[in-house]
Amino acid sequence: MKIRILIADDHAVLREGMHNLLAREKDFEVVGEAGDGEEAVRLGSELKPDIVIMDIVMPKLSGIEATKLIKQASPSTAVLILTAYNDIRYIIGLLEAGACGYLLKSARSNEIAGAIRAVRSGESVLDAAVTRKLLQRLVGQPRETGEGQTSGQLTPREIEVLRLAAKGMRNKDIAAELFLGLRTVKAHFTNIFNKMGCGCRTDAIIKGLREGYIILDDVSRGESD
Amino acid sequence: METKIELTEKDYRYLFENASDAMWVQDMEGNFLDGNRALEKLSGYTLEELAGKNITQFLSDEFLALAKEVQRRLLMGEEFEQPYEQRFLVKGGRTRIVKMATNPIIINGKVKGFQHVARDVTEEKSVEKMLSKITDGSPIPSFVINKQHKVTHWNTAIESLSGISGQEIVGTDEQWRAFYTEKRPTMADLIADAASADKIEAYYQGNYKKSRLIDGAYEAEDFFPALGEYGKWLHFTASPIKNKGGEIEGAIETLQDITEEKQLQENMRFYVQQVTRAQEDERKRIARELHDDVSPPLLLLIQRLDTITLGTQPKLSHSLKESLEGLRSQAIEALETLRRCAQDLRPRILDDIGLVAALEWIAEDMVKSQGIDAHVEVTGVEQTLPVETQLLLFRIAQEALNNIRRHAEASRAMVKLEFGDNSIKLTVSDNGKGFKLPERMGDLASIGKLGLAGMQERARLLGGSLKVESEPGKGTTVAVEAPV
Repeated sequence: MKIRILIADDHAVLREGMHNLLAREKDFEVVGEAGDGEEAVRLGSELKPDIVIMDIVMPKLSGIEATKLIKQASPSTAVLILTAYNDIRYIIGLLEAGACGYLLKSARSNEIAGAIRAVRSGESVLDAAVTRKLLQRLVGQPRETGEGQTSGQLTPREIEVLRLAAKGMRNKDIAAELFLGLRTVKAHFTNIFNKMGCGCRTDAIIKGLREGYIILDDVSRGESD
Repeated sequence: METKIELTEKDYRYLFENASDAMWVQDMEGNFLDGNRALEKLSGYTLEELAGKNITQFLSDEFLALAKEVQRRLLMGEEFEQPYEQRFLVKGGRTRIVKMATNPIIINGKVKGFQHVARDVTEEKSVEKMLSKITDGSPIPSFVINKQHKVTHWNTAIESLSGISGQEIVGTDEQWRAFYTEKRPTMADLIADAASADKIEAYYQGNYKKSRLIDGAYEAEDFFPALGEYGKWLHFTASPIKNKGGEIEGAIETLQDITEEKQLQENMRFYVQQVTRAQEDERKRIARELHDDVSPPLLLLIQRLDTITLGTQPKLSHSLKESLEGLRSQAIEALETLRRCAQDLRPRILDDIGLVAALEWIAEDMVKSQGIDAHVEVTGVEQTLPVETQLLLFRIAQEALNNIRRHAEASRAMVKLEFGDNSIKLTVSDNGKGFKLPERMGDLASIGKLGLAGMQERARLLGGSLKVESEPGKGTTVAVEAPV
């Protein structure tokens, strides 16, 4: 099945450039293009795409506000934000708004395609340091009660996979650690996402932390910087 | 048990002779019969010299008439106010002003003469007269009160400023009527009571300062809505009036109408605020143009170069590919520079993510670029603030951190954001070398603390005010609290 993508950018030329770039990849399907934040929310809710590539500065509604609304309407959609800035504090702000990851605007086409595939396979698209900092901030915040509970219990193996992901391990390393095939790890992530109603690894780790599948010890290990 | 003290005639004689007030007795014709030492001092004559003299020799026509009138009333039993003021021409032709009381001497039911008690008030009177001359002759509105808070002087200039005449107010303690609608102490009242700084603070919050020239004097500035048609701004100074012993006997207050000056200042402030706003708008506009109009074509260029090098055309030579890569790197560099410019003009993190993230961002930059241990602490329930509020608070924090970076020589800095129910408070403090504050916040710009003055204007735009605490060697704390 193809990865269904929505592009939201107010610059028609850049939207088109991105469209052409993604259309070259056989496993991608661009299902829509939005020219402003409101349209992005409408199309995101209607089409429930796998991935939204979102610019921040857009008329009517900013990409960040749009991300929040799309995540409410379609939790399994993963939002990748296009940004010019990769300052850690900035990225954390984007992730707190519900983005799965970010793409630097000057990223190469193969990097963009790679990031999209990585998100779908549960691979981390973030620096381990960014993930750790984000989770530490989340732990410090009061826990939201009554938030959408996971529909099905995770199996012990799935919990294990999630904990290793929280430590910042790549799929390959998780596979090695658990003596599993890479495909099996990907399959575990797909199951975890389905059960938790998440669109990507960042989502799943955040939710796992809030629901008690992961504790801070799982995250902060190796934090000596 | 009760002890009855009976004074002998000798005792009375002793009291009489040593009293500090002048006392004497005269017959019906005005001839001196007896007097005491104080009278010698007052008149300049010995008692022997006085023995052959008549009271009329010491009185000018005007005051002789007064003396006769007093005697007439005493004889007729008519009421009049005692003590009364009288003037004597004493030895050497000098005039002494006295406050005196006169009583008839009655022997066998008949008035045989008069006894007098007189106190020399010449000096007091001349001081008062001098004050009158000074105040009346001055174009500066002024008034004087005594220790009992009664108005003793009210000059022409203050009559015209307040619309209250001296006749109406001298002798009363209603000086407040000139400035306020309800009874309260004026600055002169506080000074006459030698009020503590705390008490003065209670009435003139932050708007006053100690006089640099006169010990015990204070000056202040305030707006008086009850004055004139639209209210007036006054600058006023009250100084204590002290006697020779250094005790406060009253106070003099001078006032200056600074309404026009204030209006100019207000206009200037309004102008500065408009400029501040316009500057932010302009910065935002330029940053946005850099983002929206200048960077997309550059991005597109980068993407196209990318598409070419990534090899849909396999026939590219190695060297061409390399120079295209070089072009791409250059274009990315140009884009980065462009974004840094935009970021300096208006940080995207503030607009995109919010104040807290933006504060953490500049704090982290302090750590990275200056090695200053900077932290952000947020308390209360975080709420989304209006964009302008966020921007003003951010600029204040940014300027405060800039000051720390440039001047404080600090190793630690703390940015605190406190969300209240109806207010927001930002505090930036450091452990650096501090500085000496001016007495009034309004004097910041004039002593060259333009950064602080700019922060103060931004605080005003927020509807709040800036508080700066600093002491040499004790660090600096800048705080702004504003309603939300």
